[in-house]
Amino acid sequence: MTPSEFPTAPDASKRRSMMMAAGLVAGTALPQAPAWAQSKARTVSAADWAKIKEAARKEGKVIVYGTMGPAQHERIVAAFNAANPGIKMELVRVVGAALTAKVEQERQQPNVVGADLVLTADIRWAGDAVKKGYLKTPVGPAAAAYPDAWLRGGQVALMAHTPWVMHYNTNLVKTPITSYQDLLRPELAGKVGGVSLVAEVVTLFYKWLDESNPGYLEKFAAQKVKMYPSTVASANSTASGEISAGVFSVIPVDNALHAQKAPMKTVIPAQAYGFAYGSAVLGWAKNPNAAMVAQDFIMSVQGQSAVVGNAEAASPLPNVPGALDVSKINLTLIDWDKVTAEGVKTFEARWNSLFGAR
Amino acid sequence: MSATAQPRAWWGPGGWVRRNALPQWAWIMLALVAGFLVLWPVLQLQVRAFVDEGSAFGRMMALPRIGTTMQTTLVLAVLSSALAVVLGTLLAWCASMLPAPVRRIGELAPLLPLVVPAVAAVTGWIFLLSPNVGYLNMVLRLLPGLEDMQEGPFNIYSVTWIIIITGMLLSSFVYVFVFTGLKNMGQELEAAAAACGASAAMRFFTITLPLLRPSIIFATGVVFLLGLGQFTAPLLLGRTAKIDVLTTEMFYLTERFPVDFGLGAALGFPILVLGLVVVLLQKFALGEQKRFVVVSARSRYNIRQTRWWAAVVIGLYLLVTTVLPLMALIYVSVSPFWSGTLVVPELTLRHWKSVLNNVALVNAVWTSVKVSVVGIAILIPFGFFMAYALLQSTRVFKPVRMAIDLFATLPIAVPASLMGFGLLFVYSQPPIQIYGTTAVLVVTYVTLMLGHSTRLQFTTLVATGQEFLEASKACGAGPLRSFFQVMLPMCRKGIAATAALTFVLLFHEFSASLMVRSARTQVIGSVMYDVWAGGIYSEVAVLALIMVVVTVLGVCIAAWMGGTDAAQQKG
Repeated sequence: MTPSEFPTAPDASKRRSMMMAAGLVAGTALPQAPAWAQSKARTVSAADWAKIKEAARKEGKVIVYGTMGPAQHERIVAAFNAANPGIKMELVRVVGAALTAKVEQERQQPNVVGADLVLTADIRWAGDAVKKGYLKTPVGPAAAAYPDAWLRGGQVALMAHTPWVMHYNTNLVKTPITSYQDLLRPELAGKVGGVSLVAEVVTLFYKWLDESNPGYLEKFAAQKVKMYPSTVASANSTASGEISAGVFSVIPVDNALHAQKAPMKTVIPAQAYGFAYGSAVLGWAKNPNAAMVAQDFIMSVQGQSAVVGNAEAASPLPNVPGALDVSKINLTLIDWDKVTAEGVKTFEARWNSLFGAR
Repeated sequence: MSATAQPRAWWGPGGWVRRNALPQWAWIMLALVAGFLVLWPVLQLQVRAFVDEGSAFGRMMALPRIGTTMQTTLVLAVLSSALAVVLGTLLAWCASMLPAPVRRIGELAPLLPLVVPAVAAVTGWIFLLSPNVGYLNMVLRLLPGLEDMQEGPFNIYSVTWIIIITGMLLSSFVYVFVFTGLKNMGQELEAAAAACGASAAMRFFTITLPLLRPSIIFATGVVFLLGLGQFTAPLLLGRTAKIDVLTTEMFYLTERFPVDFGLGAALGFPILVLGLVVVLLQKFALGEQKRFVVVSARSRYNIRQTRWWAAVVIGLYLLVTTVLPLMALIYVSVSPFWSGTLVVPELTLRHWKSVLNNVALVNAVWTSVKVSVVGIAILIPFGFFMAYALLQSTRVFKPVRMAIDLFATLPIAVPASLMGFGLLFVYSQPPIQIYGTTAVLVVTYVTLMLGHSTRLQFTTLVATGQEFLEASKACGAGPLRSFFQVMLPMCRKGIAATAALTFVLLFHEFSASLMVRSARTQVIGSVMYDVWAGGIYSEVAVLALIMVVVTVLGVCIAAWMGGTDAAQQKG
């Protein structure tokens, strides 16, 4: 479950999730810092940090591309701007794999004023970016204190451990849905929504669903699932009643609709699967100091509190107000060390053959 | 030393650059700039399809459901353009029979759907005809015999409705061309047929319709090309139902890295070839227009009887294409969320506040306005000179005129989404790397609209004639003075009408903008897609309504600048 710091035994995933839960709840440091941990590299003297912050104020702004839910973005921007007067955060939401595409296009365009920092769910890309030297090692007080185990390649801060959840429209579904199997009920045929393969994490979710429930995906496809271009679109369609239930969502997205009193219930499956976002400073950032300050803020307890909101995600840091208590759920996170481009491509072909959509 | 041995002078009589040769160099430069803008992206992109022994075509054929995608593209183009032609012609016929009290407003009514951007109209239709929670569907399910239906009766997420909505969106364009033809057509033959006892319907099918053939053929070509490159409706309606067309496949490529430009070029190749074939057929079919001229001036006869049902038909069209989608958008924009109930919820302005307080969204609106205005500032003179070069009375080398004609035709023949994909490719790499800047949007808009600007101003120049210009010259005015003091004032209304229409088309531009935009350089259409894909439908409704309001303002300003009837002139 945590990325690379644990041995990759085939049966290790459940053990890892329990360890993660224990570590997060008890607030203890995670064991065994990986070989590539660079906590020293992330430490900076108070004087140097002051210089970085001063330079950041001169830059005046930081541009962030993110794929989190709109409410999460709003909280992060509000919290950062309040904590860092003189530096304005501009957070652009880019859905799915388009974020990677845009960032890579900008990397090849020296004149473009684009992202300084990314908040991405595409950790495989982020890991590759570390190897290719595209990213900068975060520095600052919070960065230095960040658990090594949650820094992929020493540069990508993993955070916001987010379980994928289901939801249903309470006006349309009278018998509560509690498991993925419930989505196969005959009365839900043609009324269940999913998210098309807009990002690698979505592919990995369906892959996990397929592998952990043999034969499920075929039956699910037979339900004539409607595929949406994003989690938010699927959730809004459930709230409106266009579909009765959705197989794929996250708590922050559903919470935004709960706040509007939408007739919708969110369900965390007994065996939940999830992912972590990665935050990283881009090597070609036009506002490198402001990006470093923003990264450090996001890695701080204050920043993490904005990210996790009201029990919308868990944090690798202890004692983060509002963090999801993962001890109460059986959460397994994507093991990125096991994810390969070929594996993803092969599964995408299978998925396409079942669902007839990209 | 003989005279022939003397080196030729660069300047002056007999030299390379003579005073009367100077304009020819200017026309050549104009053609080169237009060629670079229009031809370069298309050529550069298409070359990518054929490198590596055409491996891109192999990748295209390996795409899942590519056969269905191609079939859908063709079916959509054929059926939506057929529907648009029938509907547009019917509207034009009805408009020609309007009673006097409603004639002026009735003639304008079929143009009003043009004010509503396609992306807004489609969104409005989703709110109306979503199978489970579309408001119109819910109302219809209250009717006797339909009470037991759990969903429907209509499903907007289907090829049928993509065709119907595309056809309705395109029908206004047909109306523009056919109604103009109808208005300029003499009624002598109709009068003769009426004298022989032919009914109104008989006269319409045997006299009017055949005489309208040039307008209908031209309109058919235009809407077929638009249908072939149709992007908005398939993108917004097709995704959940797994319906794709070639242009949406191209768009999805831009969302992945690395962008497979070769594959995109291969996907665009059939559209490009078909588009060029249609343009050639159109030119061939319109070759002998003189055959269709009944009288050259406005007819003295007006034998068409006025009919109130014609006003009802136009009213219904306006209700269905414009009023209902706008009402749905307004309702959703003030609802807490798009709810599947007919019970009026507690209305709220939070989505309006959210959009207006969102810096990125407001910036996108301003970028749209700025880029459209700058684009028009470039397009009007550029298109004017290209149109001037196309006049038979203008002395231009024939090959240069042919080249300018080609460059004015190509942007019309190539779908905006394909052109946008080509522009993304060309301007993302050296020597001109302007991806991610506002400049790429300006260049894109100029490239896309060069054809429209040229053609529209060409009709203005033809209608204005050369007599006054020649009279001015005969009175001793120089070419510049004649141009600025005679030609331009006479063309003012036509230019303003072109500016108004160009503003509408640019501000509504969606397909190419979506291809070339970067994460931060966005226009209203592209951010609206992001918000739609993000699923916040109430904010989509707000943005759609902002688009409508700004469009109306833009048209009003252009009309005011050119005179009150400027906006109607092209119609």
